[in-house]
Amino acid sequence: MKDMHSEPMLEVSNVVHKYGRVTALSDVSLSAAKGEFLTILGSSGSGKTTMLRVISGLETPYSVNRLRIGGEDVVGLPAAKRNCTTVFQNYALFPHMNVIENVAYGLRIRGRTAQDSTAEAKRALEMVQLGAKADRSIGQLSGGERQRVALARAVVTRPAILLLDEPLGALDERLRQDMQLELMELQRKLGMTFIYITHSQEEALTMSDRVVLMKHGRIEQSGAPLDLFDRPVTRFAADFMGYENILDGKLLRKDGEIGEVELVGGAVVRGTLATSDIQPGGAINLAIRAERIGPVAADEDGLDATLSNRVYRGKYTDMMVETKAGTLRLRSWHGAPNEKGAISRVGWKLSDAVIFPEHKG
Amino acid sequence: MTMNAELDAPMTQTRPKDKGRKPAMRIPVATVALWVICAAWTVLVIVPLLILFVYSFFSTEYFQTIYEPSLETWKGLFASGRWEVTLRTLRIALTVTLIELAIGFPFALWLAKGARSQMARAVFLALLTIPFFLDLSSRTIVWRAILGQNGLINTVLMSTGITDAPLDWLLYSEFSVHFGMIPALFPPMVLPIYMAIILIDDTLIEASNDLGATPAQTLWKVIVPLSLPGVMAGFVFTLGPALAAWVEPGMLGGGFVNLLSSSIESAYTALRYPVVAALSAFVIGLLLLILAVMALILRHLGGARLALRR
Repeated sequence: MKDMHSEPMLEVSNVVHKYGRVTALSDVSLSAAKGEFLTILGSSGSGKTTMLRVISGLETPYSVNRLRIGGEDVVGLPAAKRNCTTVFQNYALFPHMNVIENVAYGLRIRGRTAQDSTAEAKRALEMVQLGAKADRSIGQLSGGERQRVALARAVVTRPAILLLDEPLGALDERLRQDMQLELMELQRKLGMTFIYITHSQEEALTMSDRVVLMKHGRIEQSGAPLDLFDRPVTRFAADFMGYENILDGKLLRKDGEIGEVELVGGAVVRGTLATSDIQPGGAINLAIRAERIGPVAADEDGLDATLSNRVYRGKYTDMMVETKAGTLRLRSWHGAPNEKGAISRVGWKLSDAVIFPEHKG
Repeated sequence: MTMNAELDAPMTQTRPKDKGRKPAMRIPVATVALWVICAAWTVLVIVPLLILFVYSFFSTEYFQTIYEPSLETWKGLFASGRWEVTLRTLRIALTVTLIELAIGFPFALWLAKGARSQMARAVFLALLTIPFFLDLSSRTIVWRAILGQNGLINTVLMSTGITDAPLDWLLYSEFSVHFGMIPALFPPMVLPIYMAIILIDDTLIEASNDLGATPAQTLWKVIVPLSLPGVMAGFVFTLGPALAAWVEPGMLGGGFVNLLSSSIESAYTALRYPVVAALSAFVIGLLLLILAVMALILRHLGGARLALRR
């Protein structure tokens, strides 16, 4: 970081926060560059919303080393004085104001004239395709429309950072997918830093430049979406990112990125090491996605297997097979050649099986 | 409100039919209950008021009520110099109501949004209900012993040498009447405002902060407008009893502070029922007039829109 201009838009280091005796955040550090779309991913209780509230100033952390927004130290600064706004989970639109009054609120508060702020609010509404509904009352809007009003209200004051707290959580599947694309588009257009909170790995993977996975108030793993998707470094991360098969074993040999593993039950298989941080003899987990396992010929790498169950699920079929290492789940997409065939041995590409150290507890 | 409920009623009536349930259950419980309540309210509240109003058009001769319609009573009401009493009643009632509002709103705000613990909130709410347990006159008469010439305050003031002579405006004065009414009418002002404020979603207040509003701006632009229905209710619940108050003016006014209520009482003692009726109708009329003015002001401020929109 020699270049002064590359100073991060958001810089948080060593936040600790407690609710009574419950630790919500323990020593979390985070940073985001200008124009970055950063997603904080986690299940409920992981501390992700607390993190957002600490950044926005709505929560005063128990202790924090450094908290900077756009290079400005904001420790102790109230929410109103921070150069960031929040899109709340329940939208938090003012029920006594109509759409345009809601959007213009932040501008009026800053002493802009009624005419000026209405014009500006109108532009923000058009950006979210709600220009025609400026005079509606909030009660007349659908969930998706409220979402857009909340978005327009938050960006109209041009904050350095936009904080989004599970904004798509209350929308139905179809609308959520449309809004994901719209949000990305909006973020690109505004060049604003987005900090996005979600519990959906799909949302995180679709929209983000970078994903931070949180668990129990700590950062479990962070990186590009593809890293998290293909190279989870803990059992929790693998589970959260949707790995159906996670097997126990120990590492026998390392050969560059490739590791040879003895699974529980004695079978020896190979996979890719997620970190170089494992030594032969160490306890590991081997994780493979169901759709990345398939039937292989008897002389290929893999495990002998017998089919125990087959469940048709519309777009795909799930098959359970018994192996020496335990039950594995395979998924074959509708129309795939192995959909109905017999299975005697299963295998995978080396890059699809991830090996990471096992953490006890 | 009643109108809305009546409009809703036909809809609830058709619902069982739509779902194809038992055809015998045509009249839902809710509709029956609504009509029973409306009927009871009419019989118990509205009819007596109408009778009262009708009574004011009779007159009295030799302690006998003459049941012939006439405007005598009303003419007498305005001829007998009651304007002064009316104005004094209005002034005191409005002053008390405004003082209640000035103290009650911040208190309700603190209780609803500022109180740190559930415990503190529960304790204060319980304290607010205490006045309902005890008769008003017993609560009021205590002040005589405290505010009187030889009362607690004057004794303390004189024994410490702050004053030489007892302060005589402490009791049997407009001050003591105001003073007596304020604690009595505090809960009816605070409770509706508290209810309105506690219903305001915390995230609305947070959103306002987050968008850059100072606490004062959040108060004026978010909390006050959203609590207006409660403020209106508190105003009615306080102003009504204040206009009709007779315990405090009687006990703490000591005959020096004549309000409409004492006129009503003396007319009642003199068995002049039409005068009682006319005065009571007059008080109700005043209350309605003030509320109408308030409703107009609120509509001007855009508050009525809010009350209806919710």
